[in-house]
Amino acid sequence: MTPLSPIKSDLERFLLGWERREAPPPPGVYVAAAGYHGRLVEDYCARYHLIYLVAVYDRDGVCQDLYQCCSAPPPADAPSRCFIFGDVEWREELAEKCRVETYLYKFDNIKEALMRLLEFGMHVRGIPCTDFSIDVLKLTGWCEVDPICCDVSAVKEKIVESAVRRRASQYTSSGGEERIIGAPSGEAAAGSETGGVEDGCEELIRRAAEVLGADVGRLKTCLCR
Amino acid sequence: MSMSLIESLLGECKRREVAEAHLRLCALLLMYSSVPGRGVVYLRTTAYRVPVQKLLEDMAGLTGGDKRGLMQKFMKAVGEAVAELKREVGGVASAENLRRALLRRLLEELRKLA
Repeated sequence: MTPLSPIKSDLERFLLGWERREAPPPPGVYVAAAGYHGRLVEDYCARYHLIYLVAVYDRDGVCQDLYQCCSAPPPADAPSRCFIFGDVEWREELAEKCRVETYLYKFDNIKEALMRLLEFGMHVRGIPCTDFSIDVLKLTGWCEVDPICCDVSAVKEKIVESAVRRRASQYTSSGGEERIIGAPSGEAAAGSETGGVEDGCEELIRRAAEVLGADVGRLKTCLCR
Repeated sequence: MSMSLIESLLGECKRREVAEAHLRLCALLLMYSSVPGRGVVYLRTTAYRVPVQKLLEDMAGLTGGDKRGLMQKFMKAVGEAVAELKREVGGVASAENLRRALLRRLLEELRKLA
C-alpha cells in the first residue's frame, strides 16, 4: 500500500499518451511489492483515486483492445502479457471503497515496458528500487545502473573493511595509545609496551589486521596473551 | 531490501569500529528495523533510545563511559535522521511511508560505500 499523495503534474506528464480506463487493473504481473492493509486503503481512498499502470507487451501485434488483451495467453518470451504497477494489489472489495483509474500502454519491447513502470515507481511515486521484483530489475538492466538495488553483500564487506581501516589509521596516528576494545586500560598499555612504534610492530600489526580484516585492538590482545 | 539483509547489516553495527565509522548508516538501520509492519508512527527521537541502548548492550567490551559516548553520538545521528524524515513524511507518518523514506536514505548511504 502506498498512501502517497499523487503529484499531479508529474503524474499527468508521465501518463501522456496512456489509455485511461475507470476500471480495476486487468490480470497481470505486479512489478513491485504491493501489500494490502485494509484500514490504510480506506484512509487513502477517502482522499485519492487508486492508480494502476499497465504495460501491455504486444510484440506480436495481436492486441486490439489493450484491456482485454491482458487475459490473452502471453508471448513465449514473457511470463505475462501485462505488467502492473499499482499502489495496492487489487481486490474485489476495493471496488466498493475506492475510485480506481487504470492506464494502459502498448509496448513491443518487454524491457522498455518494464523500464517505464520502473521509472514511474521510482521517480513519480518515490518507491525505493529494492521494492521492485528482482527479475524486473535484472531484465531492465537496472542492476548494472545501480548495483545496490540488487545486491548489497559487497557493500557489507566494504563497511567492515573501511571501519577496520579507519580504526587502524586512528590507532597509528595516535601512536598506538588508543585503548584496546574489550580490555582494561592497563592491558592496553601493556600491549603498547610490547610493540611500540619504534620497532615497527604497530605498523606490522596494523597491516596484518588490514589483510585479515581483523580488529587491531583484538588482534593485539590475542598476540599479547 | 529484505529484513534478513537489514538484520545482517545491523549485526555488523554491533561491532564498535563499524558503529563508530558508520554512525548514520547504523542509526538508519536501527530505525528501519524498528518500523512496525502497519499503522501509524509518531516520529520522535526518544522512541529510538531503547533500541540504541539494546544495540550498545550487544556491543562487546564497552565501558560505561564508552557506552555513554557512543549513545550520545547515536542519538545525535538518530535526531538528524528524524528531523529529515519529519520534513519529508511529517511528524505522524504511515509505517509504509516511513519505511520507504528510510529505505531511500539507507540506499543513499550504501551507495556512498559501494
